[in-house]
Amino acid sequence: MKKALYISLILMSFGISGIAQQQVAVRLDNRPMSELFEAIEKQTYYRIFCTPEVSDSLMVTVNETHADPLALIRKTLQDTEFRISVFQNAIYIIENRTLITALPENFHKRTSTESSANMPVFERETKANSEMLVYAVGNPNTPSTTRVTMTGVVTNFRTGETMPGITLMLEDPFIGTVTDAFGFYSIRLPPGRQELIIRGMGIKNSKRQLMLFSDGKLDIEIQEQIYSLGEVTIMADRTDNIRSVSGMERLQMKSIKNVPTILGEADILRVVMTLPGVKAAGEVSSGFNVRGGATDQNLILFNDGTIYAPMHLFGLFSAFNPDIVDHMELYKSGIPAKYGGRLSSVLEIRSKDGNKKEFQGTASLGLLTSRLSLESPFLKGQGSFIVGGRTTYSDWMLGLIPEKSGYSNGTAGFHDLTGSANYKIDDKNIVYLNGYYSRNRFSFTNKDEYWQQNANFSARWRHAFNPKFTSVYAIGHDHYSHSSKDARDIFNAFSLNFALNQMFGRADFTYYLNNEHTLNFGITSTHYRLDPGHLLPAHESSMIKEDRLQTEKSLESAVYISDQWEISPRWLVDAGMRYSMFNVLGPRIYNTYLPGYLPSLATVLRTDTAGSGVLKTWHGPEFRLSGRYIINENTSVKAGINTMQQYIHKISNSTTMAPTDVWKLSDVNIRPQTGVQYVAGLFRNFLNNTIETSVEAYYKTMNNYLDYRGGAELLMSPHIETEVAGVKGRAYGVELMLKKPRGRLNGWMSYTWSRTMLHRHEELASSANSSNWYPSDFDKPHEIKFVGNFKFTHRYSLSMNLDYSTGRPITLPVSKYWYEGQQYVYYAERNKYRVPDFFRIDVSFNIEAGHRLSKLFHAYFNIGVYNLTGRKNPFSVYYVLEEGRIQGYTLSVFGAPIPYASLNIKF
Amino acid sequence: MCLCLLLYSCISEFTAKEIEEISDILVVEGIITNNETTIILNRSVNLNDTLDKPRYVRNAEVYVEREDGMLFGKEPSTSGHSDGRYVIKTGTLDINYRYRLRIKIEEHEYLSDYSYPLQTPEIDEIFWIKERQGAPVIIYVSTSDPDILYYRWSYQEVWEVFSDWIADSVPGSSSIMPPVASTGTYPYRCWSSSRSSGIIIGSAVRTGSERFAYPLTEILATDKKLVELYQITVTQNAISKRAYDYFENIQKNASLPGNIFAPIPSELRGNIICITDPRRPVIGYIVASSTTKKHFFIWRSDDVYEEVIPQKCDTFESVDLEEMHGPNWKQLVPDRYVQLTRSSYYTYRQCADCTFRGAATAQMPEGWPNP
Repeated sequence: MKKALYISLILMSFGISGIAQQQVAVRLDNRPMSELFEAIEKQTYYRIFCTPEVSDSLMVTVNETHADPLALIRKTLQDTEFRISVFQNAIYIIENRTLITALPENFHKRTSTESSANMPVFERETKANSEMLVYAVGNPNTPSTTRVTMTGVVTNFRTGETMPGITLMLEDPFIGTVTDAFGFYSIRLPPGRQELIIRGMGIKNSKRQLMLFSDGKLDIEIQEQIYSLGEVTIMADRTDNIRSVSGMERLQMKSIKNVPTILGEADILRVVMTLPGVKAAGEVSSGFNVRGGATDQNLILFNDGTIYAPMHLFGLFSAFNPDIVDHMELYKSGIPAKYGGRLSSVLEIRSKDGNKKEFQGTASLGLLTSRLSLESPFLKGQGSFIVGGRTTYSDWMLGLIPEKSGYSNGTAGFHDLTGSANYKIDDKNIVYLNGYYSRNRFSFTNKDEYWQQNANFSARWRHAFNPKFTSVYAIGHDHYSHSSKDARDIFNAFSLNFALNQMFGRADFTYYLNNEHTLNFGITSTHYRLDPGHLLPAHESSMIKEDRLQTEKSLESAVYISDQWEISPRWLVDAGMRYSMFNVLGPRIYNTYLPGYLPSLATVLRTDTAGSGVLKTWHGPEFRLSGRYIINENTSVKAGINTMQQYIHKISNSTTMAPTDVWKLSDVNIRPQTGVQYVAGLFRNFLNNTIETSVEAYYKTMNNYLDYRGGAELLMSPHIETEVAGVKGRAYGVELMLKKPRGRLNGWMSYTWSRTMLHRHEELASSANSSNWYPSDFDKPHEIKFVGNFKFTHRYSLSMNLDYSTGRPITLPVSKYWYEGQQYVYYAERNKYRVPDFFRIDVSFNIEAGHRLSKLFHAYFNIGVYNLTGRKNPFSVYYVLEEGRIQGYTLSVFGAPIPYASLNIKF
Repeated sequence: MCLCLLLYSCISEFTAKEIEEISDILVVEGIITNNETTIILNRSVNLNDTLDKPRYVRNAEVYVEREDGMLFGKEPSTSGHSDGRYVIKTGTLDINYRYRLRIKIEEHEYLSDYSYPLQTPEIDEIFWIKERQGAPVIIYVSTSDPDILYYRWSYQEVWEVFSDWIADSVPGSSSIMPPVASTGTYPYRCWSSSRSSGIIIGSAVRTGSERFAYPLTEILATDKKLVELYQITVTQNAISKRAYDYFENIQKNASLPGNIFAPIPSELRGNIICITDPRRPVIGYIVASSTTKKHFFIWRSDDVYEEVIPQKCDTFESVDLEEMHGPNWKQLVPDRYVQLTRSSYYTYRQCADCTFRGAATAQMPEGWPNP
């Protein structure tokens, strides 16, 4: 807390009076000083602080009509022992001295004793935390005449954590940069006096005054916007909408906690799904679809680790502890060359660094889950860590879910653990360690059981060769597995296990070549080991034979380079190329099929056995090009092309990501998925950049996306290529977005028109006359989303979510018949019909109890209602035979208003 | 807890609007097999129409063709096929030739793909398990063959049923428990039977074909089927993988759980096409496969039946009947009431005549082991 006091002193001493030109008219004849003060306070914005000796015992006589109040006070006091000090609109009158307006010599190397802020104070070798000081960068003895490179790290003033995604910029000429994932920045600025503007989510808008001599380093400390409770901000900066080049959306955990969610769990993935272009097949779906892509086409990275199970409990919760997550970035287009391996999007989630200044904890009690997280510095703040856990403590929720959904008699639970530590060796080297473990378990009856787990470990080392050239090295191991056990029939009782292990290493380099060019390049490699199935008997009477599908091993590698080239202040181009290669490794037994036919057991040409070594290589270039042109300060156009390759595929026959879905690596018979996305958009800000709007259109094609063939057995299939077929897809759409990122009323509203059509192999059509193009499961042409927050005061706010979309496509039966003495149904073409339209409103009321920094506990409370109107939004339609008649039913997952309350405590 | 009630209302009835229903799809049921091949033809109806019983196709010509040109069922029986049933004498299938089905209905002609006859292994064993008191009796069929992985079964059950009371049609005649129903006596012991309904298929992929048991059916321990003697006759046919996939898909489509992870329904094409109009869908998959059969019994002595407190029919004295129906009550005997053997009590006719029990017959099945 000492630091905070210093800060207020600094602020006081260097405050620039914003009300300098005020004048007073006053006439007093030997009246107490207090009357003069009253007159000044009445006529100006000044407030005067003094002891009664001054105000009551001193008598003054004045007669002025256009007097400067400061001069007037000075004049009346000139023969006394009293001196005045001014800080902004406050005038302090103290006997015999002025206020200390500068810090002691041993605190800052150079100080100014001037009481006004007009004189620059050059601040060095410390963290720039004041708006009032002028910080010197570089060597004053060797001033540069060309632009200088300033680098440093941006940290949180209160916790010492590094702050990624913070925009630093000059307004004229416009030069800007954004801090990287480690809070580091590098910016080229003209020498001399400059004002650096700092913008970012969840921080106070701020600036730093610089005196730039030559290349140098400046670490910046910034303050959080503690009271900005309702900010559902997703943009880093007011002009970011116009200036940024990528299709990246950034979400800060603390800014989304007011978005109403099911049962009050702050859930970053749920908020991602409110963004235009992101869809989920239903309210409870484990995966999401970005611009027509499949659920397996999103690369989800949590602290570098790949997450295959992003959701807990069938999609009720995201698998990321909201107390640990700091922020996430979603790339829908303009995917940097650094990332690859998935067609549709990259979702990068980062945990907090951990408080670097003091021990801190967070606890939360919800209706379903409890969580606890602790963070602390170690080794004198050179390092810090954060650990957190979350668990369910009862199965009662399942009893509430409709019986027909299949869960009501079951039990379910999950827990997840996250740990992250960092240690700063010196200014050039920082190391990070991250660990993550999550586990889900559920059963429908006492004779079956499913579990699923994700475990990740990674280590990262950031090394700066010099201010212009930095590097990050990471290695890690990711594990994903699931298992199911079914012992309902003892003779056929089995358990089935699936496991995927991957080891990765990557090196990423950033080279700030000059003002115009920033180069990013690197190399990455991932070794996969996939055990697609291990079948075991699960009862002593079981006749199930132990069976293990052959292990698949592969190596995916890529090199990339990209150049962010600022051709002119208006033109910015980010051009990149990534060359990816996928080696299918032996030993393996594989079939070769008759060319030109869908692989099936009938078209097997021969079976080969391959030993260790590379057995097949897929490779190809991927291009990433995006550009921005600023038409005027409020308007810009952007366009881009992305090509992608994907070598790992999810194989599923259900609409959502099921816990039993298996993944498959590309091999001799399974080609990699490829995709191209074209995107173009117009971005315009209104009302002094407080309203951001955009229109974006995209067209996307996908190839070799794996779809199951009807009636296929996907589990324990030794030749999965005979059960699936490559599907072609095309997706296109227009996204309109209106955003008000700040203010008492803030939020966004979007409308999306989009289509996603898939094309299957002719042999798979159910009848010869059915169309081969059919809508995908999440093809919802019209979508309107609204997320809003209204702040009554800094403590109370109301949030609302609105979601409307066309009903999702379903396959309906169109005919029925008898077979073997029972009625059966005949289904129409795939996804020819739709469930009724989807509509939902959620509201929540949020109370932030006491938001002072000094408070021991910081409590946050919210109550809300999910699905306020109680609309029964059908998730699925199904048909059952009842008393000889086929009856259709709809299942709505949350077909009633669901109230909730939650309490979070920070200590 | 209000949550609970609210959430329970999440399932509601649904009638699809504006769907293009399809009717009159030809449904072909049957397996080309040794001796007699039975093919049943019916047609589908619109989803929202009533379909109490199959809409049989009665005017078809059905043939089985062998690859070498041999034609079976050349002379279709003229007796009419009121139950859509076409029986073709196919003799012993020759495993060296492929077989297919040809159907002619009015101007349309349908043809199945050729398939080699599969040699169905004998059923090794039929057995039951009952895990504990109160648990159902599960009847398994077990089979083994190194080459066959996919099977289809059907079964017929026969069991003894008894009337509540014993009555003789000629009052005063003596026997306490007539061993066999005979004329002049109301039958006390009958035989009920039922056929399996629905497609029953199994795959030995996971267990290996050397040892494979499939749970055919479940009978509640309190089911009267198990009172005295129960017989199940299982018919087994080997089928191909594609046929298995096809039938499994039909099965899945009919029993979609409707839950979040439910597979997306889709139709598979069978192996029958309409050659005169290939755009017409046809339901069914025809394989050629020899048939094997096995009987199995569950006896009273197996002690699986768990008796529930018997609720026998009411009995009346003559004064009761007079009170209920007036002095002319005797006219209601024996159509409505019968007199119990060696007793002055009366009961309803259906309580003393076991043929009233479902579709039971008083005719003892051939070779019934419990004389």
